[in-house]
Amino acid sequence: MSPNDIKHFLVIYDVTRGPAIVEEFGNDYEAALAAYTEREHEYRDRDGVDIVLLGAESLEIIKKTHSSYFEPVDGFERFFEPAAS
Amino acid sequence: MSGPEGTNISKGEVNRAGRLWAEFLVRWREVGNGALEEFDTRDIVEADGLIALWRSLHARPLSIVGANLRYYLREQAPSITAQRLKRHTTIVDKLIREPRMNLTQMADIGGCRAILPDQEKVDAVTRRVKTNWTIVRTRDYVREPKPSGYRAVHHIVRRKDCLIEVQLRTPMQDIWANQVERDSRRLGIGLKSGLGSELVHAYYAQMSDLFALREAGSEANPEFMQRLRDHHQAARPYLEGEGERRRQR
Repeated sequence: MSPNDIKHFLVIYDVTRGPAIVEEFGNDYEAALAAYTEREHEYRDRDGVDIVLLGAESLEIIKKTHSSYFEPVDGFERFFEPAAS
Repeated sequence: MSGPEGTNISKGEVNRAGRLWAEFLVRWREVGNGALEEFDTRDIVEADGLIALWRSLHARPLSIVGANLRYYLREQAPSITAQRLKRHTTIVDKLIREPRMNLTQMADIGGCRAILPDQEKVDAVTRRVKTNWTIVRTRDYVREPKPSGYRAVHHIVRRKDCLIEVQLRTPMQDIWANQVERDSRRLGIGLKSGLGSELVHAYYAQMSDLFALREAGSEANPEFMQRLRDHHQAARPYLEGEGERRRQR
């Protein structure tokens, strides 16, 4: 349960392309931080590209806690019966 | 002089760097490369480095808070948590939106998010962290949801010179927030920050109320459901049409 158990993932999500690209850094936080800054410069202010540095015990957890980057685009309609249009 | 975390920078320098970038980014978006003639490029580059340094100082405190949180969550299994460091542009955008905010006061540069099975377990973790951590403030958006419909409990924790935000959510609160985030990104509109059509927000808020009812073990009455369908119908063109326009750009 140490802070060093965490694995680091750089998630790059291009809204025009779909599923997120994930760069994995294992426990190497320094490398992940350096890559974060590098990618931010690369994509600086480019519309529709989201970059974020996440950490968790596994990528599977990231996919649940930050599901907006990984799950298909759908709406709330699955939770109720919309009116017929 | 020794600054935050043993560095030789002062909080004043960090705050000035944040403000300079906020001004620069506004002009950059207005006039593009022309902004480079209005600012000293060396100052911009230096400020960029300071913002990156300030963010990186949050890495260790964030991991420590995250590790503590994982420990508390074990008592409330099955729960999960992840941590994230805020993106440079998102940090500066927040400074643009909130002109009186200092970068060193920004509370969510480093954040942990936990998803717990139900509200009772969220409340148990809240009691635990309030006993063990230095909590600067707590925002209970479950008892007092944001007008947007956002529900979660947020704690701001101080670790050394850094503020770390801890978000505690139930599964449905998390589904709601992730959907709004996904729509924001898909449409290229800051729905998360309250921007965009009011009709969309009315639909989101009603949806959040429905989730809260269901998680509390209740079911909505027919009038409520009819209102939800009406809100959905009204919001639909914005949720679909805007998306089309974006894809065509």
